[in-house]
Amino acid sequence: SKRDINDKDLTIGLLPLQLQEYAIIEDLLFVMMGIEGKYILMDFSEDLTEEQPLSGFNYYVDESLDPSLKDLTERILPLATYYSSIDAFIEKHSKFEYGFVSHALCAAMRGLLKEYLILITQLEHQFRTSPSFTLQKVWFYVHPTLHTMSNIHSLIMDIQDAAQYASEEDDDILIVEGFNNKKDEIPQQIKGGCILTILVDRMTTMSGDPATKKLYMYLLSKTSQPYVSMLHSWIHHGEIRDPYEEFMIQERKNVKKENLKEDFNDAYWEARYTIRDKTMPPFLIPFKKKILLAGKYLNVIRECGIAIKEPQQQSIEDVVGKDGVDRTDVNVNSDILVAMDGGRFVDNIEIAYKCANGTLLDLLLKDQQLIARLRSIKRYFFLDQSDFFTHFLDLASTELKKPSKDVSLTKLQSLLDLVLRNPSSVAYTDPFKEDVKVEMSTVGLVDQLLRIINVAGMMEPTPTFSRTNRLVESFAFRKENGKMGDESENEGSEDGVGSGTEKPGYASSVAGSIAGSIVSSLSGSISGSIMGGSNKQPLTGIEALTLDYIVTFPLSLVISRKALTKYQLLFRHLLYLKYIEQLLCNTWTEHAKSFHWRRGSGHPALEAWKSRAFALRQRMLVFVQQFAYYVTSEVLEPQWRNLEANLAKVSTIDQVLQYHSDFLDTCLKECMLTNAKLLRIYAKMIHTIVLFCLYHEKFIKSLISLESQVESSIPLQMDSTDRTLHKFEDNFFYHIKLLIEALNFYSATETVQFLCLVVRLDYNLFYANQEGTSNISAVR
Amino acid sequence: LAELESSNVEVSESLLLRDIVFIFQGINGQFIKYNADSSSYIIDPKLDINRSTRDLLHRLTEFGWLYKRVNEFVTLNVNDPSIGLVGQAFCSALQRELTEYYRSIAVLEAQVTKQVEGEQVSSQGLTLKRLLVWTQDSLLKLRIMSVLVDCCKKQRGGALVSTIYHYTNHGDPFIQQFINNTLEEVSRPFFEMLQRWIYEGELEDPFEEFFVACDPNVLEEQLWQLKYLNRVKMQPTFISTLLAKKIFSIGKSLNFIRYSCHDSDWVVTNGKVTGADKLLKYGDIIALESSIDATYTATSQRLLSILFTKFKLKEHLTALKRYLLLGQGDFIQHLMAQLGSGLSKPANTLYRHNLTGTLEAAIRASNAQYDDPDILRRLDVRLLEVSSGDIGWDVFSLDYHVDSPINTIFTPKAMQQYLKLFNFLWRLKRVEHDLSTAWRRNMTSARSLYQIKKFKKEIITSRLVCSEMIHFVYQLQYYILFEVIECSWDELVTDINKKSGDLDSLIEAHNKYLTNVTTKSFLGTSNNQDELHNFALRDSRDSDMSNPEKIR
Repeated sequence: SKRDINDKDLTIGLLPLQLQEYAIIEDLLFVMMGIEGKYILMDFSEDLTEEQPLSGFNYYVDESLDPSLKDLTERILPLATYYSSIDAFIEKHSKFEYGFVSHALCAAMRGLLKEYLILITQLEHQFRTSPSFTLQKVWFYVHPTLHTMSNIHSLIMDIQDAAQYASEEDDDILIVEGFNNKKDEIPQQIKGGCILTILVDRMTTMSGDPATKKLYMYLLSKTSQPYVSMLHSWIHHGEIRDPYEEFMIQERKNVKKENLKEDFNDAYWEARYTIRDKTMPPFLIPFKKKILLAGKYLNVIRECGIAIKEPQQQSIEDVVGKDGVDRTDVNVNSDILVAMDGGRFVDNIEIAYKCANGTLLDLLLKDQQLIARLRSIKRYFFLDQSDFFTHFLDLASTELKKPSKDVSLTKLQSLLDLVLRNPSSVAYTDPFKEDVKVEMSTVGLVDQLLRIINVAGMMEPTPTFSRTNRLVESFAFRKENGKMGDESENEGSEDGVGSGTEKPGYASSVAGSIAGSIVSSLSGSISGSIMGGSNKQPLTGIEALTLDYIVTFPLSLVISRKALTKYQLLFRHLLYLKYIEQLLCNTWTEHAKSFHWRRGSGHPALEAWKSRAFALRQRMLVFVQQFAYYVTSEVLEPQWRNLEANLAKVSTIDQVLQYHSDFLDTCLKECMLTNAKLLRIYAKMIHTIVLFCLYHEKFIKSLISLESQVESSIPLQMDSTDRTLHKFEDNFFYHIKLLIEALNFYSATETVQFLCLVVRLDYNLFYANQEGTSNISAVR
Repeated sequence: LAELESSNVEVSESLLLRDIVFIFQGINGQFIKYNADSSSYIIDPKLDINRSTRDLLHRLTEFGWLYKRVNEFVTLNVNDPSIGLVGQAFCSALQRELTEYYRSIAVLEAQVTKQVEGEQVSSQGLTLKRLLVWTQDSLLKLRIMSVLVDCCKKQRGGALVSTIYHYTNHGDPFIQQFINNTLEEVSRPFFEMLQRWIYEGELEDPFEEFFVACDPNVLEEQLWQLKYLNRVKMQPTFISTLLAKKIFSIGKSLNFIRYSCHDSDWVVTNGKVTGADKLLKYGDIIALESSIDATYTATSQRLLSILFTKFKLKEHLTALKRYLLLGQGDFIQHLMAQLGSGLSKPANTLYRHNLTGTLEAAIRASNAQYDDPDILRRLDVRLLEVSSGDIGWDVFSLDYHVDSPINTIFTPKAMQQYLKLFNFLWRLKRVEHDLSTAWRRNMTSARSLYQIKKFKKEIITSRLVCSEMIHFVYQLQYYILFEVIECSWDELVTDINKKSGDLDSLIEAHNKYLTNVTTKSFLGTSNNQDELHNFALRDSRDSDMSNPEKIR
């Protein structure tokens, strides 16, 4: 509408050449400021939307102009296009939603544009004052600027491309996710770190030309300022002031530290602050971990209500040393460092990381007494100096015999408190004793462990799973280990112990099947929960008993729910060993003081039977005691020493976390709680022992009847009693051998520590040499 | 060339420049005039200027348009006090910016007039293009101002500060600088208010712009609880909720010290000492935080120390525990012995002066006489409301008078709880007293009773029952006095000794103590309480039954 026709009438070609040049220069000056001239017109051929296109307007020159002048003019004209493009870009990307970095980039560009405009006014001045001002001169003056402007223009096009690409990608995601309310947001690809990435990319790829390099360095240094200040406040104060989501660290406010106590997966430490990998400027990638951790540590410190101080010069020297930061490991383009404030941020990151690290470590180790805490946890969970615990078990024995559902937790808790507060107990002096709590687990120990080992097991109903799985495993095991030979064939029939059914295919193994049938008759009365399956019986109190520990915030980073669960597993393992030992000791007491057992009957067969029962009891006791000894003195204690030594010289929090979880994992592994095979054999042994102890009453009964037979000199009917004892013996011998073999085998693959256990269990190669006799007894 | 120019352009550039300079100040020029209908500037269409120049002029008229908007706001509000102090500061900041703008225009104008006079384009001369370049910064400033004016029209006080603060979220250093400068000025009245509030406890807020409000109708008695309110809307966003809470507490504490504790000297001197050298202003939030933190600690410390030394808070707490929670055994024993018989009479035959006399006697007779006379003075007898059929036991109660300022901690509600506890404990004590009387009678009359062969069995049973009851009551008393009261007391003492936090945390600790005691002695819910009262009463009745004389 503004193009009035009057101007059109006057075709420039009709004027004299000098005037043509004059008119075209005057027009050019306007056009270069983005204003349409008389003879140089905007190209509206493209679909013109309301917004100024980012690619800039195209201009064309009146056709009638002198060809050579026209050519020269057309050379200058891109400048006008660039100007309009940059102007449009500044207008658009200065809006709030584009973020700090875009704003800073726009500001830098505006500075350049201003210089450009000043150039134009100078040209205008020349044009007005000097008569010898020609188009050639204009070309000469604007030529260097043209280069700069074209560089900025292509940068803008790059950013636009990224936006285009991002929106296409976003569309796909939006379709998949089925929501489109995020349409209005500015894609990450043209904000914050991505802008810096684009700049750095261009800078490195174009750095051959010194002028271009200088331009990009200028732009980069200006543009990165908001980002660097964000970085600064993050690494020194742990704060993120990032309303436009540009920064490389993302904070999720909804991840609260309170969850840490309940949540099994310690998500707080991992999920509260995450790195936005995609948007990170490349020059920060080498430091990303340090940056994340520095801020994270500071946040932990602040959550504990401690004010964060900015590192003082003095402390900086303390931390870093007089020589400043060692930059040898920094492989960042030095040009970028120069552009970014001489790379001061690198030093800052290093210093901030060390300061934050040191402060948090101090907080944990000194203020929160992490090591003392761990020691206290060890006391309760690993039963170290556990005089109180024996006392507790005595007091609570009636309660613990009940099914776990009927056990009163409050009662147990008060009993535990009573025991812990007893001034004669070692635990009395422990300042953290208030934090121990009694808990009832819902799953048996072995079950829980097997579930953890084999997560797939959770999907299936347990009995079938364990059965089939065990079979499969037994075959696999046989294949792996040829040495196992006959023993491993028995493996299948051993299923009978748990489930009470016989496998015809394995009936050849007499010992196994007998053991299976006899135990099955009993297993109903005793909880099968320690077996890796057939969990129909509810847990008794002692099986379900476990401890819990109240951990407050900064410590719960280290002692998370996950770690506590591991402690609990170990605790239950130990507790059950103690419990069995107690059972066996009770049997021993019975043997030692009961009149029937002690009195010699004078009947050789009966005496032989008695001594066999004694021997079996003794072997079981030795097994249990050696096992407990191994667990406590050869696994837990040395590992703990190890951990303590490591913690004494840690320098970062992550090391602390690492050491602690390593400690727990090694303990679990060396206590053979992580191997399904070993665990099952162990469970069966334990089961046999428990059965033996419970069956003891029947032994007494039969002993009395046998004695009465002796007295009344009726021939002895010892067969059934004898057989029962045999079954126990065979079962126990068979399993302990299996265990020793398996331990020997796994010591190669899992941990050498098992060999120590083998030596303990198979002292003087007792079981290994007994091969023959046991076979004989098995046949019998 | 000169000829060509004059033939093409009827109006010389200098004249246009002159026009534009006027338009910059919102004044209509000779050729360019403001059109109110389309709210834009129209260039006289008759004028023969080329299209490009017209475009350029059009761009330059943006100044006029922006200026008009800003100026309108300023003139509308500058003499209107109702806009509030912050609003006034905003206007003045705008005016200052405008002055700056005028100055640059004046400089430009000088150039123009020189040119018009000289009729010659000097080497330093001004052209329209040059004008556009030179005024770039002013244009940006004017644009920001007009945006601010737009969004701040309806805002006042702290909300206005918040609104402007939102605009600092811009990465452009120029814009950021400008807005920060403006904000510093705009927030000055706010910070002055803040300063007076935290150093002197005065609310000088004629237009309700501060985020603390004062309710003048509230009496001094309830100064701490009700007098001051938080006006969330007026809380600037750069002051975090935690900080705001501290600020709120500081001023409140100062007022409490001044009006309730009558220690205005300290407030004045302290305010002078700490407040004199510091000038709070926007821009240095960290310094602000630290100075507020320091003031907060100082004020809270002072308030607590006044309460604990001058007003003997701890002594009062101890006294309440000793007299109302039966801590002082000999006193209670004596009182019980003296009152016991009298209280069995119907309630309406009791007279307060008699009871007060007994109380006095009990104090004299026990170790309580060595207590601070001020505390003993506060100890009093109270008769609850008498309903028909009540006996003395139902209505008798000890009371402890609290006055200002400690009644901020011992609120009527807290005192109610103390009384409730006292009643419960007193009744328990009474049961114990009766039981031991019964036992004594039983013992003294043993010989005569044994002679009655017929009752021998019953007597033995009644003794057994009696001693079981005694055991029960002793255990219950032990539980309440030691496990409940002493444990909670210990917690309270630890809390108090920490001496951190303000009066609020002290009140909270005390409330926690009371709730702890009440719930743990089964008085928490009404249900429990009835049950236990019944239990206790039945017990005492039973003990009467076991009294051999009654059996006889």
